[in-house]
Amino acid sequence: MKLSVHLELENPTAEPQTIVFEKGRCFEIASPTSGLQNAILAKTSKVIVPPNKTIEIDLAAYCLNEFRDMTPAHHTAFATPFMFNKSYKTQEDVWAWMKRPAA
Amino acid sequence: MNTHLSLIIVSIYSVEYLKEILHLDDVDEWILDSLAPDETLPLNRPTGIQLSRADAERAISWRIHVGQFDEKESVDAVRQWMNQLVNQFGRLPILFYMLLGTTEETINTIDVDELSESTSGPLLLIEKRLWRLSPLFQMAFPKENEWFPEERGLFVINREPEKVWMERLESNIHELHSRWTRHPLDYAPMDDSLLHPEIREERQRMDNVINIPTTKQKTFEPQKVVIHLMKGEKAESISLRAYQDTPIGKRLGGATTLGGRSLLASCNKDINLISGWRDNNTSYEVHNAASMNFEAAAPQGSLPEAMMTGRIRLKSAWIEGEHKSPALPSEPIRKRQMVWPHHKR
Repeated sequence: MKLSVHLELENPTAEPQTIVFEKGRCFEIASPTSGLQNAILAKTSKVIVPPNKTIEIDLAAYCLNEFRDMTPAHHTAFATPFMFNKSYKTQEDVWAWMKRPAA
Repeated sequence: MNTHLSLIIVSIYSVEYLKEILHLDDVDEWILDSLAPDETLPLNRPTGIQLSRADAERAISWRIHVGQFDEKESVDAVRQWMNQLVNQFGRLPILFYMLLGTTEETINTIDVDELSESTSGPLLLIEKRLWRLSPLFQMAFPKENEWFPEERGLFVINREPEKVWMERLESNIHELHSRWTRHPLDYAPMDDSLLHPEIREERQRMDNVINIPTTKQKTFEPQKVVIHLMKGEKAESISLRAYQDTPIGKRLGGATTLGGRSLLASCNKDINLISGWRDNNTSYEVHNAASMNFEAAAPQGSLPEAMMTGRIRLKSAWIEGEHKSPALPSEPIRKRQMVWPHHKR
């Protein structure tokens, strides 16, 4: 299963802006009742947005919700302040963590 | 004397998880009367976090009628049963409340905040009336092993050796204090003035990011959302509806708020939803969410930080992919058997 997070980033300043996208950064589906998957980034990457420019990027991601669907359509999402704090390398790793009771 | 006993279990763990660790398939003579519907509480709770009154009031509360208990039973049988409970839950902040079956008292009368000042693990409370009426319980739990917080009609019994308990408490406090960013569950954080300036700054920033309590605030004062139930609507859907957040960088009702809580709510079993309850079956309150699998973090250079400081505008974002969810696993049919030691088969 392939999942990606697409972002359109605008730099409104006169300086280039560097953004680090950390592995584990969470993005949520904007409509929480849609029954679609939320996502976490699969790896860390860095992007520099030139001054007064808008860029579009695609970031590889894993899904957090095995028992939800996802479709190739563009599903509006939000960035979140949350990071997935478990170790993972594959989609299966993520799902295994999500199934496990936190205690 | 035959005593009709009930056990109220207050927990912030999911009912499903409790069933698993309680071995409820070994119980045959019980009435499980979940005071909060299962599906409203997809909860988990980290080990060793103190139970606050606010938590207790919103937590899962189970009343288990454990049936008649004959005073002719041996003290050993009582001790064995209690030990079994404490051994099962020894590491967990779960509160047991043993009472006479006809007692109308509720868990809300307990000042759990005060109790949690002194312990971070399981609390076993025995209703005073039960203790008074039952020579057996008096023998099983003699006075010197008990602590009387106040005249609240309850006995508190710490069944754990004090040394072990203190070690765990110390470890928990150290872990909480040394955490880099404040976890939403840290509702009783240490005084910020004692923190390293960098950590303090990070925590203060996170306070603005998510609805977490301020320093010295002992219990959650969460953003409360009251919504009306639709007929037949499942509680998870209600939670998710309530958790439609304002995206990062926007303001809601004068307070800075961010997305993210609906993400936690949707991650069902892995979430600690300091939860809601139903009021006359017409409304539902949803409070803060947190999770062991997620932590809030917006370090310098990250996307949330860039959005909050205005360095970057997120003009749009979407998720795309292709996945068909597998069928949900079905619940196994469980045989119910008595857990009381002398009835064990």
